[in-house]
Amino acid sequence: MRKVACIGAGMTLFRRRLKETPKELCWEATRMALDSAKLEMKDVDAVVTGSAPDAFDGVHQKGEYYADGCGGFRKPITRVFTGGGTAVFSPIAAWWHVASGLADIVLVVNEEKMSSCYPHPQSVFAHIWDPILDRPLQPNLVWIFAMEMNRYMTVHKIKKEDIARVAVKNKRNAVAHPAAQLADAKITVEDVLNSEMMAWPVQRLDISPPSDGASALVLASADAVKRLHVESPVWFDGVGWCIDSTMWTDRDLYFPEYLARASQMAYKQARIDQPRKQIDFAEPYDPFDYKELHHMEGLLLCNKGEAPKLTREGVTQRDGDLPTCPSGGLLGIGNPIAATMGIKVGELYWQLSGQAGKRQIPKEIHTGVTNAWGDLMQFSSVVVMRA
Amino acid sequence: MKAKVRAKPKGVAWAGEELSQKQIDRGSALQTRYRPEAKYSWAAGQAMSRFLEELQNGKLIARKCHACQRTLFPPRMFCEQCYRPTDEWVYVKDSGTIETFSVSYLDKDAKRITEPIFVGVVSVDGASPQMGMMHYFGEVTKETIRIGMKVKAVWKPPPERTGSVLDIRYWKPIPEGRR
Amino acid sequence: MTFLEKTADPRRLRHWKGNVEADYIYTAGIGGEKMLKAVKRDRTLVTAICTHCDRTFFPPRMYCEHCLSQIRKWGKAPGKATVAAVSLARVDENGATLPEPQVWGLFRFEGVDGGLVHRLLMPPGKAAAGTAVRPVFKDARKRTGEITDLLGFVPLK
Repeated sequence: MRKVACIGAGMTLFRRRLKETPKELCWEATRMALDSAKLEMKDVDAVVTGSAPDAFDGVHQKGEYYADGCGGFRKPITRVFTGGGTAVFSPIAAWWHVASGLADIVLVVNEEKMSSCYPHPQSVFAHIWDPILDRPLQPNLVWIFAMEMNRYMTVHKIKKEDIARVAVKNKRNAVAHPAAQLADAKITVEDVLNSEMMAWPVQRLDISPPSDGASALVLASADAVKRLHVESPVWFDGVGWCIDSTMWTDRDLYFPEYLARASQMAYKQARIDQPRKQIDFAEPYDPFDYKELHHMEGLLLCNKGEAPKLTREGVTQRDGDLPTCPSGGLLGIGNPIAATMGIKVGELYWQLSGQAGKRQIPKEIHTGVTNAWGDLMQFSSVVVMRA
Repeated sequence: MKAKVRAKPKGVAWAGEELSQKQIDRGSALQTRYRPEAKYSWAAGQAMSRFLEELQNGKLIARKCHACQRTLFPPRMFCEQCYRPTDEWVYVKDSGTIETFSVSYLDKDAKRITEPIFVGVVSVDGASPQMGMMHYFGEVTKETIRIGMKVKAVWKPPPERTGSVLDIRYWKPIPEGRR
Repeated sequence: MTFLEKTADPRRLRHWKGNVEADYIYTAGIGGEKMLKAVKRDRTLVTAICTHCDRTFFPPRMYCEHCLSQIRKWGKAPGKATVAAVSLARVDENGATLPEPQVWGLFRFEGVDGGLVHRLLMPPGKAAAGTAVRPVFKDARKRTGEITDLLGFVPLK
């Protein structure tokens, strides 16, 4: 397998509703990524795209529909989808293209326009439940997170305050991110604990709301990196992904087993056997504040139940020993599902190439890990990057 | 460490034209509205058809895999762990344990409600550990409901049952020591 | 490998009814507003000009898909179009038979890449490719900034 690097990235603003059509969102992110890599579409061999259900944008075959905005004009294009896991899974799919020798330069573009679904994407989320077992109960998507959060808190006896700290950290971190929808420099733990109760134990400020947005990355082979004289390539050193059974009601939700397996797959490739020591910073998927903690444990960065302690002690702050979600995460920037690639793999790239501006982690960093999470608590994708 | 540069040149705004709810409602953002017609009649299949039939009879049924010896609930015709067909039907009890729950102040359309809905996962007695289903909990309060609580199904009367998970109204707490 | 037992009695095989529907609002977007604002305001068909590729497009768009450059120059489509192809629809979008065939056309403008699919407002028997046509619009008060502000195309003669 050949070595693969990220050599450019781009993303749009993330907002509750953007005027641009899906194609136009793709183009904006693609243009920024190509410009950052100093390339044009003629230099790109193939395109990979990721986007969540067609039903959000409201156009079937939406990958084909927005393809030309991704540069998918008379080029090979592949669309992949693993729910929320797409944010890290489409870069993995792009990695295959290059690692296999099939392509030298691949563009990855992820897009989501959730505002098309009116009045709220909840109407589409309603369709991901099993029609016979779950839908008759008229579930709200927040219920899933509430049930998983409750199990996690109860098994480890975690206090809500410690979980709220994650929302505070990320929304404050996001102030330094130009695309952020939800940054808040002054938010406190009390604000989170006093916010509207949605489905106990989940409160309004525990959640990242839906967004429109797109993001793009440029991946290149080692040969292309040399040929193009790329100054700061960031290498994909490990990829992993794993899915658990559909029957989520048969699982103990306190620990994401499928994420641990995906992490082991990625760490093996990256020759990491002591993740906490060998990894400098992390971008776990954080659609809810407790998910950052849940995923830190699934990423094997700490023992089960230990993540809240690390947060309380400031270890996961940008200037801490294990900066976690230095971007501001989904909680701070927004959640256009697949397009959160820009906040996850994109952030790893920007941090490791020294381009993170005001978000740049002060200590020296060489290795970062990120994950994304999808379906009904079922799937995770993991990427380890090094520079 | 590398020289600190910006992802985008200074002063260049990141792309994206934000719209407000007002612009949508007033039509100042040009738009087309549409609601597709997409009706479905999903085949319940082998396992779920029997499951629904038994619900209508006031019973819960599971499938057993002889290879891993698990009693699988909800029932399925193949064991996802052993990846082989399951072997026999097994009735399980309509009592169980609360594995997790939520107290929801939102209805299905994300609208606020004042009387919360108690919902969660109940693992059923007779099935393998933690084999469960999502359902409502009733005759509980925010203060009394807890993970580990023993519960029992409250069924609709036979004429009202249609072969649906809603043939059970909700699961209610049972006093400890009694099943 | 198959299931070790099966129900073959169709009366015992159940179905569950439901839908996968939601309400949608599609924004016209940056390129779309360029087109539909002009249609609504003064019945003009705006074109997009990529100065890098030296191509003119209709419908107008925000970027050129050939070279991915941003479009910054705009023009006007000629007043006359040509029918490139004709189709007679005999069923509606749900498959129900229409009382009479609906005439649809693909319309192209000279010197412009692309075109439009819309109604060709002439008798089915007479509709043919090659016909010279012009666009017709709804009354100003009825125009909403959607593609339906165009009623279709009619023959020049």
